[in-house]
Amino acid sequence: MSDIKKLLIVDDEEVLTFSLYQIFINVPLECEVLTASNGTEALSRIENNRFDLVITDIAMPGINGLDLLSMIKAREPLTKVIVITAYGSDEKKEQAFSRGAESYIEKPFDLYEIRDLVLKLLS
Amino acid sequence: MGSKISKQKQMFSMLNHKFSGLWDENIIKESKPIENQDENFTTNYSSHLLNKVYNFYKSLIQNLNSGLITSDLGGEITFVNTTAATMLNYEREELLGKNLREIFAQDQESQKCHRAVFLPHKRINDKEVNFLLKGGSNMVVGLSTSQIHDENNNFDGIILLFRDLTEIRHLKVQIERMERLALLGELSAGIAHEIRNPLAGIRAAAQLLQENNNKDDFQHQIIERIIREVDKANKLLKEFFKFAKPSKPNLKFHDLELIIDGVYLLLSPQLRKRNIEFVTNFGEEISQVFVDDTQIEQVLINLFLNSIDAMPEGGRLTVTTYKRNINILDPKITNYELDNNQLCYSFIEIADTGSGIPSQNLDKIFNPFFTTKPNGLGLGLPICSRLVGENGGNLDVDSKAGSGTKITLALPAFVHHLK
Repeated sequence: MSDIKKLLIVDDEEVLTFSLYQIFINVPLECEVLTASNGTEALSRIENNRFDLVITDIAMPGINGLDLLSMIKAREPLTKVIVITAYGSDEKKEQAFSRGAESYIEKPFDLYEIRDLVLKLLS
Repeated sequence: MGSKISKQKQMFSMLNHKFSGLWDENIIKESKPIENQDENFTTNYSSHLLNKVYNFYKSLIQNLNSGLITSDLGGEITFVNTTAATMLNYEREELLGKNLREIFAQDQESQKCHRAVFLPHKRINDKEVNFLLKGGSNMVVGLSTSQIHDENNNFDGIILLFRDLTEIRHLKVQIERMERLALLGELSAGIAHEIRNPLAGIRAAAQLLQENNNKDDFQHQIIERIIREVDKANKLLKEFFKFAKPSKPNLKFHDLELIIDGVYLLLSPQLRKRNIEFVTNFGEEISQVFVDDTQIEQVLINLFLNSIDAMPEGGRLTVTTYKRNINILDPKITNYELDNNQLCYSFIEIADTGSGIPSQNLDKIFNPFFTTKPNGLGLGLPICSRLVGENGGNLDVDSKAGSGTKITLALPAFVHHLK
């Protein structure tokens, strides 16, 4: 297995995806970062790649982030998943964890906190 | 003599015929042997029957569920039934002779009604108006009028028939509020997506920009401000969501006095600093309330802080608790299983000696974003009211500018067994 870590960022908010992409390509870690702007696009990426970590939004057109999380975990249980959402609730948080998410973060968040969390999860 | 007897018999028979449906059948039976009775008996019996009719109408009018007032054409009150006097807080005699204008709370409304009813063939049908009660408070009533005509069919006065709409209006306002809140809950998902997502994008992009700047750079400071503003907007949104869609309460039995004591301990440094005396007047019985303790704690903290803010020069904060059974008049309107049509509530009264709320603001204090504080968001009381409602309770505010504020919380002291 290669040491290059593979990351997928899934969000329909383009500026956010771009910022996350930028921050991860500069981390002191060899990693490949892919992005997707909705669940369907993310699913096709998952079918063709094995990701170490996925950051996914919940509310997206097509497949939502929680369903995507279930699909990822069913396919590749070792893939770590961070769920991010603009509209959090106790129920969603519970759902995210019960489906196997490693973390649940509400938007807007601190870019460096999420970077540190990713590094910790991948170490 | 014969014609006199015949006239009495005629009148008796007419009375009997006209009012035969108004009393029990025994009276009708009693009247049957009339042909064989003497003159005295007929006179006494007619008078007895008239008395019966009079008492029947008197009791009917006095005990009507609605207030009834009559006036002459000048607007002078000529008759008041017991219900009307009770509703308006007067003795019946005090109202007689007053002008109708004096029972209307607003001159404009009085003039409008006056114009509408003192013209021949005009009437008002179930119109919502405000009446002025003795003591100065107002009551919303549904008012209908009709005209009185004398024996020559001349317009002689008017009848005002009215019922108290306070409770109906209160319920209507509550239902409208619930509908608005449900709509707001649905809208908040959209608001979150459309506002918080771009905010997340702005914050992340700003942080990226900041990475390439030295901390002392002007640009760095500007970006710092952008991030701060984003966080400020997000804080407001978070509070708004608490109001629009609060989390589902985790209902359990808790000791109400313990919750209050906990809040007091938390805020006691601030109370001392402001020189505010804290007085508790707990009921003899320990109040077990079926609520989410964290949410009720949040409500009490908010209410105590409001009181502290209202007493910058010090004062007294009195917390009183008591239990009371509430009669549910219409069991259909509650979602709870009832025991003898009653529900038991624990009440908390939080009374301060602060600046009070001006009457023109009282209607607005539960509106989101209404605030009189320089740094307030205007979400404190709306969130409190929402949370108390979610816990099956009710929050009422009674305040007058200059004489302090009393907030009464009613919390269920029963298990919420839904039907």
